[in-house]
Amino acid sequence: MKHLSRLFFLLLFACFFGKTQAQKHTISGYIEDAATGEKLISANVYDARSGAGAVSNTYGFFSLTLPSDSVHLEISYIGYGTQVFDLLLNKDVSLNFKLEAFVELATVEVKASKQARIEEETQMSRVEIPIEQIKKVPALFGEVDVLKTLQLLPGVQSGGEGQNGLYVRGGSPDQNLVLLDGVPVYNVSHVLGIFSVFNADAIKNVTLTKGGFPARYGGRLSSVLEINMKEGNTQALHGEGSIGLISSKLTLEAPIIKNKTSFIISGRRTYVDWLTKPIINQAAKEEGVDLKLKMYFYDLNAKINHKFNDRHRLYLSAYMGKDIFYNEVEEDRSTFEGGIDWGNIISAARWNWQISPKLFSNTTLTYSNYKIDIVAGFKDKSPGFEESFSAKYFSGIEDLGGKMDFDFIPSPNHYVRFGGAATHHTYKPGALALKAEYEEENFDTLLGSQNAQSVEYALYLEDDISMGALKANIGLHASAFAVDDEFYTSLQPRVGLRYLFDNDLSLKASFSTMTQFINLLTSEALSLPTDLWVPSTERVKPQQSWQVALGAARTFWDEYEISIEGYYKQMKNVLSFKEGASFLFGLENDWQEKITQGDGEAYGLEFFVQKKKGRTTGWIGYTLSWNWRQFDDINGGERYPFRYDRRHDLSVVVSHDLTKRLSASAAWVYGTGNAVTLEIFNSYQAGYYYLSDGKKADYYYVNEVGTNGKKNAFRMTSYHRLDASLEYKTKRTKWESAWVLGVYNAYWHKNPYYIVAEDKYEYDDQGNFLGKKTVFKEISILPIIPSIAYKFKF
Amino acid sequence: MKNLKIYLSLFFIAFLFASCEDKFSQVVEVDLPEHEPMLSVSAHFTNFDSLLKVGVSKTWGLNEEPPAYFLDNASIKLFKNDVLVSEFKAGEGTYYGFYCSEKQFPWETDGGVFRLEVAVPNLPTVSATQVIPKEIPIIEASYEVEGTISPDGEKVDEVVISFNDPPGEENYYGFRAFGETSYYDESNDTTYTDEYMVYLETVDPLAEEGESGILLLSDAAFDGKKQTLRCYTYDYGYGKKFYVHLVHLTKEKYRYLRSLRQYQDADGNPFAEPVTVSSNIENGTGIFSMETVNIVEIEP
Repeated sequence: MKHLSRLFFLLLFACFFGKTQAQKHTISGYIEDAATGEKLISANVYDARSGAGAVSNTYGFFSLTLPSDSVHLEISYIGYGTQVFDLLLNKDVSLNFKLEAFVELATVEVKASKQARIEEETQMSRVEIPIEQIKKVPALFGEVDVLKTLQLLPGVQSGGEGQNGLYVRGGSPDQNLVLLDGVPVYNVSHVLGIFSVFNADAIKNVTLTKGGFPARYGGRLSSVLEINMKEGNTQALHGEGSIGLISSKLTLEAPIIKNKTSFIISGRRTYVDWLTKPIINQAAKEEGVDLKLKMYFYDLNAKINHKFNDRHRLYLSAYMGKDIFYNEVEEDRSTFEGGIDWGNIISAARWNWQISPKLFSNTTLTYSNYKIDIVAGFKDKSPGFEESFSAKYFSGIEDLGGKMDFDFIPSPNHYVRFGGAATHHTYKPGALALKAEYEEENFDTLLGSQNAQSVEYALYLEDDISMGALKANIGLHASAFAVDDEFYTSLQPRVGLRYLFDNDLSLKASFSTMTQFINLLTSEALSLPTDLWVPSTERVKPQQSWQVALGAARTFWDEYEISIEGYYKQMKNVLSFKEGASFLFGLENDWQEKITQGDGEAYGLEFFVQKKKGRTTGWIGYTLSWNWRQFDDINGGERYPFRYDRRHDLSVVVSHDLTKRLSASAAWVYGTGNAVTLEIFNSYQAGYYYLSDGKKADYYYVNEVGTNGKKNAFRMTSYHRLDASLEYKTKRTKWESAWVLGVYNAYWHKNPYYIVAEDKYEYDDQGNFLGKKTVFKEISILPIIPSIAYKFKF
Repeated sequence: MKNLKIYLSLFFIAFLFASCEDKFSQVVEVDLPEHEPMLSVSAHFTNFDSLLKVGVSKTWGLNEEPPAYFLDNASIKLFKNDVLVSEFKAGEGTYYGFYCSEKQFPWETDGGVFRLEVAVPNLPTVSATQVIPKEIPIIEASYEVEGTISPDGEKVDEVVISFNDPPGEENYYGFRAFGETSYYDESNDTTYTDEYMVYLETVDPLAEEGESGILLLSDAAFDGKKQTLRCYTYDYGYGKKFYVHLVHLTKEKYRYLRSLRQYQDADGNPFAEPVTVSSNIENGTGIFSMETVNIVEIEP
């Protein structure tokens, strides 16, 4: 590894200084939306004379160093009109560009521009979906969902019906680094995984990286999902929102000081409990009980940004969301209560500093807190006989972190990124508080694991190098983890290559290694947000992976992006609960005793064709994949298919503008059924008891064992579903609105959510009992669900 | 607008059509293939039993009536390095139901590969292989009454067992203990001796509980080193004599004992992860194991 590091730095040195530098100057600045002031990410600045170009970063900043000469700049961004700018470059200049979206340019002729094409990017295995496209995809209950849209991409799978978890290239949800404005989000779901915590109205941009990870990313094995919130309109007050069947939301954004300070605030709440309250209360009263029911989620996003000058900007952002499911039943003098609530609080302070025309920095302080509480209890207030009992299970994770990132763009042929980060984690890995007041005995006790602390460090350096048809992204990510008396370190080399042929076909290859120091213990037995975040420890080694990917990409007729990628990934020290372990029981034991570590292997082929322009847009994604796990302590040490091993996964998404006002969308998905373990036969296993002298006793035992032979050997029925929606828009001077009619699971396929064994009693026509048999039933939870929503914008 | 009406009409027709389906049922019964019965073998051989015993039974599907415990038409053969060592015949008396080896079996830990073959008419023939593990002597063992504190804070007896792990190979161990008490019956002027199993527990993170009260240990964390296992028991030293067994297990037996215990613990717990009981029987299920036991007698 030492030699590799030396070689890496030598290569960088050679790249920077290997060429004689002619007289050059730098054009730098920001690219933003003319109407809202939002910074545009990955916008292009292209000099038609030299053929050199640059791309804006996450903060809209670009830097382009060119020889002293007259330049002809084309500034472009998908969905926006191209701006052209000529100047004589004889000194460093700072230029900010404001692009107008096509909707504001209805009468303007759109000029063909040098857009960034998939075949030109070095990065492979990455998908960027414009939020407007996400909003077009039909959604469950009409609630636009970022994560469910991502599940329609090749290489990304959902865990089950309606679930939000992302299973990327054979990984598990905890192996995804989900960043909201750069802050890790530990729980991404509302309502047991049916909705994501991300309110689409507050989001500007979504990028998912599945492999070929550049060195700036680290800490998770399988993917990086970056979600950037809008910054707030710097020009005028604007708002948008929707009123739906189960939830409504409202977003407001406005300048505080025009062109300098702006804010955005966005809130969402469900109201199923309000709507159903009269019916449920009436039903409860008829049963002679008094029922208090709380069943909702809410989330709130807020952000303020202030521009001190062209070189300094400050962003403060926060997210808060919570799910509450609680019921209290009062009957006579007894009260029973039970409930579960969970939620995230996330905040970030970011400072952009353009240190020089070629050097840009971003400093971030982050705070993230996820916690879950489960309560259950009863009270009996009979005269002279009062007693009560309560149990509360709680767990969570809290992060406090800081990081500095630098973008250094010495020439159009190099884009260097470097930086470092430190995060302090506090884990609350599951504890149970019991309190009881009985006539004879009282107790108040706490069972479960103690809080644990750790600190995670990271340093990285990468360079995006252009060498004509060949482009390379070479980098090194170094990370370390301090927990108790253990100090883990890891060096992770990353390489991405792209070769562009004359016919605009590019071949891409990547290699990346990743290390993950924090883990999520997930039960296969049930899907609840009760999963525990725990650190690597002296006993629990960090998870590691390496992934290699090969692919080709090309754009056809300027409209169709086609890519095909094959990948192979090996994972080491992945975690699983031991066979028979239960997350809830046995809290007196350390969580480490419940888990085991093993290996994972995933490989597959992904095909993706996407159309981003025109009246018809959408994509087709197909994945052929295999996904294995091997643990010495599970399945007798033999490897077995992961629960989410999915041989075929297909999605077709189409949106079509039928008229100026009316558009239709549809999404169809198909996936091989999940792998499950079922006991389908029994056996006797017998032996003689031993005696103290080592011999066998004269009496034997017989165990009756139910088994299916191998783990995850049974497949649930294949999953498929069609969603569709119609949107009818109206527009007045300052008020745009739309009615959206949607249908989820349009042909009502009973997609299995879980499978249970049940005893079935059989009778003949006369009602005589014939016998009992065990049957397996697949339970489906989401039938056809129509929805209607009213959206507005002003 | 005309188009809009058509689209809306189509939408509602599709919805109404779909809504009529099967009384809104969301449950689908799954057809499973018929279970093909196979053999379940229980063969636990140790160095203290020169008479080898094998239990043979038949698996049955979920919706079939359980068969009798044991099959009586099995043909069983034990081979060493592909040479027949012994055949088995139906046991009698206390061994009724089991099959017993026809010859006394010499326990040789010479690395020979033993193969057990079981054939029953109309069922797939099954087999499994084992190599006898070498005896690992207990180098120190002690029993101290109220010698330690349990995780519940109670004073309990401590049992300490030490041994040397052979380097460079995977080794698996089991620990069990027995107590022996005697009492005098005045009515017939006789002293009786009773033997009972002592359940050992431990807070050692490397150890796990196996089926039938055995503590299991893998040498993955201490390969080639002296290892000491500290256990405790609620037995309170009632026994006059105390025996500790160090069982050198094969990997297959270690996994079997551990998974069987996990299976029993998880039975009936809806929150537990599914357990597949480990087996080394090809074309069937169960276990064929050979283990070497070292016994030490200690005074409490």
